[in-house]
Amino acid sequence: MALAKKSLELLTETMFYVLMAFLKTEMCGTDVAAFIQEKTKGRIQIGPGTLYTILGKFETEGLLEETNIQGRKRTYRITDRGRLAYTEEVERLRRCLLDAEAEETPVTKKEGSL
Amino acid sequence: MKRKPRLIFPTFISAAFPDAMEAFLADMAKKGWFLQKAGYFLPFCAFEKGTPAPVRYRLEPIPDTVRTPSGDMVQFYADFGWNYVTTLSNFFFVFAAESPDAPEVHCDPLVQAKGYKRMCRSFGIWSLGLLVLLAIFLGIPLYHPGFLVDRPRFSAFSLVTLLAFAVLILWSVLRLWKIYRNLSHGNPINHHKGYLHILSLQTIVLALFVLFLLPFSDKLMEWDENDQITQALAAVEEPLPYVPLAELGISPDWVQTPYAPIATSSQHSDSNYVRSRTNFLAPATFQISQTAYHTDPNLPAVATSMTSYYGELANPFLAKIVGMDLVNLYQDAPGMPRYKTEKEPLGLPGFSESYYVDLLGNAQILLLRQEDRVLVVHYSGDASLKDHVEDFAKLFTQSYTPL
Repeated sequence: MALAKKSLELLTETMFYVLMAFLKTEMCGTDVAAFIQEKTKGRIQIGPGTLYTILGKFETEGLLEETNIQGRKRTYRITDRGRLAYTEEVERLRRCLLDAEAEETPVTKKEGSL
Repeated sequence: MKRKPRLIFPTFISAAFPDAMEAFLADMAKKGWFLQKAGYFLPFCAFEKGTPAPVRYRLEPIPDTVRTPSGDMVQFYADFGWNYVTTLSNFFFVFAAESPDAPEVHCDPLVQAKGYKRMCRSFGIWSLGLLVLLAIFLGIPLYHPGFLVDRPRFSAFSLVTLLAFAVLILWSVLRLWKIYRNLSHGNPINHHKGYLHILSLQTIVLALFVLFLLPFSDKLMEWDENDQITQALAAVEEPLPYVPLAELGISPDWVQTPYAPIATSSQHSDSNYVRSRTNFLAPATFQISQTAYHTDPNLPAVATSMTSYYGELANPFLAKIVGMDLVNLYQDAPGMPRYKTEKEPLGLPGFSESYYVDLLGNAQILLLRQEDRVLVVHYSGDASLKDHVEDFAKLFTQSYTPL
């Protein structure tokens, strides 16, 4: 049970890409899905269940805010808090990558190059 | 206009098996049966006949205590090719996609787990309530084993039905938690889960439940009743396991009205009888009721009475708990708070149990047990049962044939 709670406190890969989608512009759900598919070259195909849950969670937590409702289509934009969360996550991932690179020994690098 | 054929299917365990349910609905669609409606309170699914097609169904846990998804949610899913079909009980929204290009509803198990966590909690509370109710029913034989002996077929059938329900509910709760745990560990739901074993179990439990509600229960009770024969005490010539009321002292002014089962409305027709029963739990039991009435109408009707229960039961444990049950029953007489009465051990040699209870001078109870044979006597009168213990003990020197 603790694992699930922890998982939702951090950003999952899908959540990370959803935040990324809003960095430059406002978007609706289908736009977000198209953005992620293009950005990941089809590796992540986000579905309505996951996206609906994430948008609801981000809106509740103040990472996103609603800007426009056309019929039943809602558009969202990222908030300052959301931008900060994204930046922190990018920084965390960058540090992880640097740590991983620093940990690589010449032997593993050699093996990797082979 | 010709109406399309419809099929109603019971699905009362689907809430705990969403993956199997999805596979079942997809298979039904391949056969041309498309889900139209599911019961909210009643567990059923209604299908309508159409052209067979590959349709994917996905069950989404209901986010809150709502009966239908919001318009926003329906539109959101529709934008991705998933159409809302119906609400399944109060746990799932059912969405369907006919296009193979529609993306899978969930691609992130950790996010999907969020919905299941909330659902597991509400399903757990609902199931806990049901299990408590079942435990109360399952516990009946423990605090009233006499009923088990009197109605063995009905009791056995009820126990099996209730146990099947309890197992099913427990299985359902554990299964849902397993799905939640798997999602939490990043393992997606398998949408091609087998469902035949679940449907088979569902059919068995449903059949048991229907039988339980239908006159089958009455039939079992009737068969249990047929194990029992009641006759006027004076009409029986074979030896019976009782001590006549007269041996404890009877006045010439008292009368023991003969048992008259036909004249149910006449006075004093419900005493001075022997009721004998035989079944697999109790090969021979006798309940003998004796009452003497005052002839003087100015006095209370009942002058003295004695009810004795003698049983040769299937095993000593059953004899022990049935004896205990009867003593408790007699002690619970109105105006006789049990806490004021104490069992006085008699320590009769050759008996597994022997004790006496004085109910505040108003009545007395005697219990004698020899392995699987038990005698419980409830007496109301001037004599003391303790003075006649030997007479009652002598009843154990022979065995008795049921009527």
